[in-house]
Amino acid sequence: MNDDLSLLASAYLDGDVTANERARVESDPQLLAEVERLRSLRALLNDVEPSSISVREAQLATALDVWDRLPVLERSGARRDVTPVGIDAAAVAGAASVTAPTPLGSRRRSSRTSSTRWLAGAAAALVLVLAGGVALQLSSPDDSDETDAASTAVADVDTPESATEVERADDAAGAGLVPASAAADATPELDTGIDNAAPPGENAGVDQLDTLTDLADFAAAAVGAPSAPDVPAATSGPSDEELSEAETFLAEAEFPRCLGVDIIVGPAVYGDVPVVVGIDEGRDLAIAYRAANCAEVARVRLP
Amino acid sequence: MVAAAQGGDRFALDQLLRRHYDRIHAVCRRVAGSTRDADDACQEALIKIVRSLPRFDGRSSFGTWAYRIATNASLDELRKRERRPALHAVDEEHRPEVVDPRADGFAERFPDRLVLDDALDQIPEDLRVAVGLRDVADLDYAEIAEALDLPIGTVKSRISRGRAALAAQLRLDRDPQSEVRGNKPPSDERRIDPP
Repeated sequence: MNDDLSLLASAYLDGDVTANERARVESDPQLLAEVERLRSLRALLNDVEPSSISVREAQLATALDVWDRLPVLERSGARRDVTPVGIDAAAVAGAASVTAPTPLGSRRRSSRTSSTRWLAGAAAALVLVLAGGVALQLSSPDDSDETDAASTAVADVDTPESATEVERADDAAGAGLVPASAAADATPELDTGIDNAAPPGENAGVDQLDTLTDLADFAAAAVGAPSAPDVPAATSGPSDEELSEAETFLAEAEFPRCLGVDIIVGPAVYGDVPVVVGIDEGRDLAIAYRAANCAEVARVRLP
Repeated sequence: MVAAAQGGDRFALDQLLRRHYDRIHAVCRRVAGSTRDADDACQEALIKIVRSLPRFDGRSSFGTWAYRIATNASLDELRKRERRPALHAVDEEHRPEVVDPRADGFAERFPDRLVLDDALDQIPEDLRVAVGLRDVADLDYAEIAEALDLPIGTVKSRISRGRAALAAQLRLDRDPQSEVRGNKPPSDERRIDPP
């Protein structure tokens, strides 16, 4: 069969023929046989083994995850002429390389952003401790040489400024200036042993909890705090140096997991007792306990 | 549904992707070839669709647009494959024994699918893509012309030539009774029967 006839049979199969061409094909057994052959080929081509359910669901979840991480303005089409750049692009690219996070993972990720505020507070507290030590040394009249050395040490410690930078960057995230996912991705994973402790209070110091309601709110806010809305980054996150200082502090500040706690929220003062607050995810409980001996101070069901 | 998804409706997007998933996957499978490459292409296509959805202007149907993205993702995957070392082909003699009777039906069809994959690999890429978009993605000539940025006449010609080449590779004879299923063709020839 020559090319013209093959072309005619192919076009007939696709319904792209004139009335005359149709009549010609239907009156020619050879052409009709060719059409049937091509029809068989089409059936073969469409016999595609389906993707497995797990593969399909994983692929769809990944695609939707990418959608979730798109900046809101871009997702809704308001920024149709804008291509993600910088940290947005990195967030999208990161999303493309992972499968859908588990709900627990999402909860922990959402709390990670606000944990930076606590890191800043912790770093600031460290500086206060150091400053207190220096003051004690300064009060000793016989140690003039050490006083000089201590003064130099104080001059070298710029943690308050770093903490301020961390806090400022985190404030930007909290105010919606930095996408939560981008902030999380830009922040190295810190193996702090406190599992994303994230008291969300405005003050950098240790929170005062007076009632069980306070305790419940404190814990719930840490794990349930909404992530910052996805909008273009207006500022950068904390620098490596700033994070390193906070990390150094946190490495020294490990809290024991007691009483079935899965997530350490962070330190607080309950009544007048210094406690560590944790969450038992299985039972949905917030538990305050003494770090020294794991003695329970209070517990309450999460709201 | 497209408008709703573009407006930020996540559920609508989920439904939209599910509605077109099988076709997107099939296009990737037929254009990219191997399962692994097709899966990679399909994932890449879905991500591109999601990321580009806000810029979809509705000049073509969503399906046309999505299959075009799937086609491009598959072609990208093919280019990557060309840079990878080739794997050994499975032949009839080295076909593994079926140990699970429930898989027997699948396994029976497996050689046919391998032969078809092989035949698709043998024909020029431009012909394979045209045939895939017509016979698998079910796009009409105008849509394929738009997707591939080609004149319609060229599209018709490529489809016809691609089909003829595939039929020849598969030995889809005009007289099916001239061969009996089960008789293995000579080693340098292939033949499979339609499902």
